Amino acid sequence: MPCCERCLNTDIRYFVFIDGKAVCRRCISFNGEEGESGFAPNEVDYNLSFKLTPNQSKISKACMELSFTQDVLIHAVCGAGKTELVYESIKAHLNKNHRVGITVARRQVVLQLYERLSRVFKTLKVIKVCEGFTDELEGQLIICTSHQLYRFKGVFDCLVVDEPDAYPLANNPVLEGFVRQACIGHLIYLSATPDQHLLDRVKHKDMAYLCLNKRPHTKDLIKPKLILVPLFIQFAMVYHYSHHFNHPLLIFVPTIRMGNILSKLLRIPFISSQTVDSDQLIQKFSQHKISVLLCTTILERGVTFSDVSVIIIQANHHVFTHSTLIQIAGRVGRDMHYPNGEVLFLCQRINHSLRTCQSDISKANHSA
Amino acid sequence: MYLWEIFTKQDNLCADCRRKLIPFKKTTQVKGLSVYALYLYDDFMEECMFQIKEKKDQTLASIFLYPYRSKLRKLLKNKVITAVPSSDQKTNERGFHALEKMFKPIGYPIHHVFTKDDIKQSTLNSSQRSDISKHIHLVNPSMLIGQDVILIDDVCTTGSSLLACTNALRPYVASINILVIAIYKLK
Repeated sequence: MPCCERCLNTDIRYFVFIDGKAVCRRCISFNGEEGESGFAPNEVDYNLSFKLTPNQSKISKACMELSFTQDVLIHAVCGAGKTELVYESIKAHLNKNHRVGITVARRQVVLQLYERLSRVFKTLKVIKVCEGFTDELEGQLIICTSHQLYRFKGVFDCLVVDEPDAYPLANNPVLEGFVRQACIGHLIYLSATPDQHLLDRVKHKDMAYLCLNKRPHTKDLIKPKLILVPLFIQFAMVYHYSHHFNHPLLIFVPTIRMGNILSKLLRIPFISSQTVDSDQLIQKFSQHKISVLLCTTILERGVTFSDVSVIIIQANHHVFTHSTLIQIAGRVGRDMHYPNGEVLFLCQRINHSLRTCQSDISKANHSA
Repeated sequence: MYLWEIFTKQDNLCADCRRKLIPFKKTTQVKGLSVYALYLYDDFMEECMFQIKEKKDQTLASIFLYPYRSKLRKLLKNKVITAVPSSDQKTNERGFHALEKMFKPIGYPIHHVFTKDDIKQSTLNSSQRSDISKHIHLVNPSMLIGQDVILIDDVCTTGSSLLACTNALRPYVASINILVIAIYKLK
């Protein structure tokens, strides 16, 4: 059975002969120089400017021990401080002369993590590899997007995969093939909403499972309130809230079309994948210069606002999957100083995603 | 072979994708030149070109001319084919010559008599594109002297490249006819 050594494709229809060599067309667009991970020269340690909670320390240690013998799934709720949980593992692997890498779904996160980890692991050569930053390919701690992993075939002994359920990594066989080929040791998955196939692996004892249900400030996750009303009443409610709510408010709409209409009707700025100055708007919102912001699911992940409440319009729409709902609810109450906020799901009917989202958040709050 | 195809209608694209390519097959006037285009340059054509040229999927290149290969072989039988140039740097980076691969179904040789300096056409605006004649150079027209020439290109947008090549060739050749795969038409 033919198998592509880069993306693990086994579908023979993707193979062609070019100049006498067999080429896999599924990953043909990925071309570039190979990278290499260096070994850390001295004893590696990290410095954190704050202390981990007892729960975080427990999981951090457990992950470190388990990652030497099996793949690990860390199921941590939004805002629980996932990144800090792997520092101990990174340190331990580097000290055993293992090569470590971190791969994330989105380019923005690579840049953010690079800043953080450069400060935390001061003695290491931390490098970022993503679109626009592909010149430096050798380092001791490599942070990259999953697209760039094709350069690092067989390079890592331990690879941390952040948000495997996020676009574009989710359900992408080519990127998943790159992840598998890049790491010859064990993987550590970090997610608030792991896919079913990862949970199945845990069920079949193929992967270790660590669960963190509390945020560092130990307050409960905000439970979403489901409000069953017809759509036109949802619009009226949103109008009311946008004018009479004295808290920063993030309103999620299911489609760009609806967002444009509401944006004009309510005179609220709108962010979608088509918005050009989204970075500026996000900054203004986090600086409290704008108090209400309309957006699509583009802001479901990766943004941290210290004090915000969210409302979802037409929360029963199919774009709001169970993971999306949990991620959106997870935008609220992240900051230690503002652990409260409101999460309102305005819907026309309650579907399976809404039900499971509610139950998962309740479960997380009830378990210690 | 071709008679049999009446019954089997062999194609190297699936019917869904083949339907998305919009045949044009007409001659239009661009910058005073008569340009015969096989397809219209729409979003799907743009995706295909991107996949071939930027994603380097050269296997896809033959889809454009495949359905017309017998007709085009007859039309181009006694002519000499030459192409609008792409920069050497790009061709090396890509690993293959995109236009050559696209014309493979015809099976006739392409005589490359032009070279192009390394600038990216798509990042230029209209007035900058008209200066393209500065960057295209006729190098070795010996094979074309006194011949009936067919000038080919993949996409015609402003027609500046085609005009530059035509002007350079005119003193040497008997006739010039232009054939492009896709033409970009402003609505």
